[in-house]
Amino acid sequence: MKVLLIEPHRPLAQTYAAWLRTLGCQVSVAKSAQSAIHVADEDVPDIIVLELQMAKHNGVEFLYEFRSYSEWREVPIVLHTMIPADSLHLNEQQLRLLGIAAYLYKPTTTLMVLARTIKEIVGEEKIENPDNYDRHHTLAQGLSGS
Amino acid sequence: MKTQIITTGIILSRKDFQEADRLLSILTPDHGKIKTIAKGVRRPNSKLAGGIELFSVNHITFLPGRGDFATLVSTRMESHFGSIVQDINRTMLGYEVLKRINRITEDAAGEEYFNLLRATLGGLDDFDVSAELVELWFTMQLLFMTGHAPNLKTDSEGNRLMPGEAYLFDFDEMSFRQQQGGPYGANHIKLMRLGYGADDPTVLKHVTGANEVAAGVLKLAKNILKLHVRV
Amino acid sequence: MSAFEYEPQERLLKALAEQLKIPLLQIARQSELAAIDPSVSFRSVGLTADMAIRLIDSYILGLQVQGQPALELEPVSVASMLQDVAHQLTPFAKQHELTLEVSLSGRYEPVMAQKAHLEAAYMALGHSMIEAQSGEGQSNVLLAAHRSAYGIVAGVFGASDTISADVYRRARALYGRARQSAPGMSAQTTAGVFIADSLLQSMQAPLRIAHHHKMSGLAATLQPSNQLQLI
Repeated sequence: MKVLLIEPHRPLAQTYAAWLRTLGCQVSVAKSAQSAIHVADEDVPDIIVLELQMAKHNGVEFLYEFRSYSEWREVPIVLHTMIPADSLHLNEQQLRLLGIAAYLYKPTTTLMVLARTIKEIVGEEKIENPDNYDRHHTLAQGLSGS
Repeated sequence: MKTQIITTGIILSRKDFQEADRLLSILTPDHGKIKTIAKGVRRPNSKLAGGIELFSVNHITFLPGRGDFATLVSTRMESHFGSIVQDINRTMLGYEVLKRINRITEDAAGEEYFNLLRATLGGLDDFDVSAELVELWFTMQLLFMTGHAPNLKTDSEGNRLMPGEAYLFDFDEMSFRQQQGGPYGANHIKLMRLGYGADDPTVLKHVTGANEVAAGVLKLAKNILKLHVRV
Repeated sequence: MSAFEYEPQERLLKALAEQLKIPLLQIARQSELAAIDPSVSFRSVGLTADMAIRLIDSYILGLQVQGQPALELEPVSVASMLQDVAHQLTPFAKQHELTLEVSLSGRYEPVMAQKAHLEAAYMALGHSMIEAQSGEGQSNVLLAAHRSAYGIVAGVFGASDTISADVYRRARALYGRARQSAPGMSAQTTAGVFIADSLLQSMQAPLRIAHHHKMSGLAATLQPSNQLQLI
């Protein structure tokens, strides 16, 4: 499964990309809206994980631009952002129009929840190492007690 | 030989068109809304603000076409409402405004819509006025321009609206109805009048207490718009 | 409380709180990853935590300075100070895939300043600028000093052209109010700039936009000590 991770903070991008790769995902990282468009143009992702807060062009601009291309209208997008839900005035119609498959508040979203969300959206068969996912899940559960 | 037309315009929407082109809807003050094909801009470096920024007023040159579409020859940014994209919610509101104007100008677009859009974007660009007040002003202006402004002078019985009274809004009569304990009072009505009468949304930042009642007034105005204008 | 109602100190504290979310998030996620994959290094987490603590210390220093009638000043070598700061910031810059360089043309007289405050200011400024430049996809950050007619201009510069006098003025009005007070200066990168400004203002050397060769950035003009020149 090809994931386009749009994350401007490099150390965070490295952590999230490393996690997604342990699940067998092929991860492309983009730091900005412009570079994300270029990356998507080269190889259409199966899913996008998007931080809204970015320099120059923010994630909303990316969303509208991305969705204006017909070949990209069905690519699911997970908002994974520093902006809390109550600060983000998105109604149902906008969520649907922009094809937002899920909203995750980044500070409180664990790696496991991110993985589970992606899995629910794209389907388990698309995660190449579902066994790894379950093993990690069990291991993490055991360690955190959650 | 076709004559090039030079004017100013604000881009309302961009979408793909054939393999290498983009279709831009541009609102102008003197040529209404034009649909133009920007040739060859669909590939990488031009995507996303490849010289054609949204939330900006641009000098544009275009060649009128035989059919529905003109051909964009060149653009140059005249002014850019760059602060809008520094706030996610203002960005979203900006796109909503563009979308509404795009819909409402399907059939005809006079200069007043261009001025409304430019003033609204200017308001969103000014962080001293809340996005809510800008949206309220925009909504009230749209209601006025489409002939669906509510009655802000008299109530549904024909009596003057009174400062100490409470009101409900009657959507059929498009006026306020006196009601004890009703959600709307003098401040709500005053703010609607200002939204209706102010030339520019930035005027509202000077109104004391406007932010406190803005949410309720905006909700009402948007409900009226949804019911009567459907944009 | 609406963003329009915060006092300046509250706004700075809010900006600091936002900026600290990122290093804490980095620590949390890296720890989670390390629990699952023992080969994951913790080195970057330590570095992230150290930088966050320094930022908090700079903020506290800034608060303390406001309560003091006059600072005890001492002769400080700008060149040494910038070299020290660069040395401390280099691992952080590397973590963000940036090269940090120092550019000092010529010899400079010592300036009368409060050494700890000056260093804290440039650390906070460097911290924010590194994060901002990284987010813009730039590759290097420069700590530099040069002479001007008014004194020794010392600052932090990047290759990005998004920061200008106008942008900085707007950012000063917006920090703690807008999530992104300027292009490249999101809620998560702003606090360091304004903490630095607060510290430098206490030495009558507020931050302003400056240019060093082809790079733009933020710098303070420091006054050389005339007394020391005679020695």
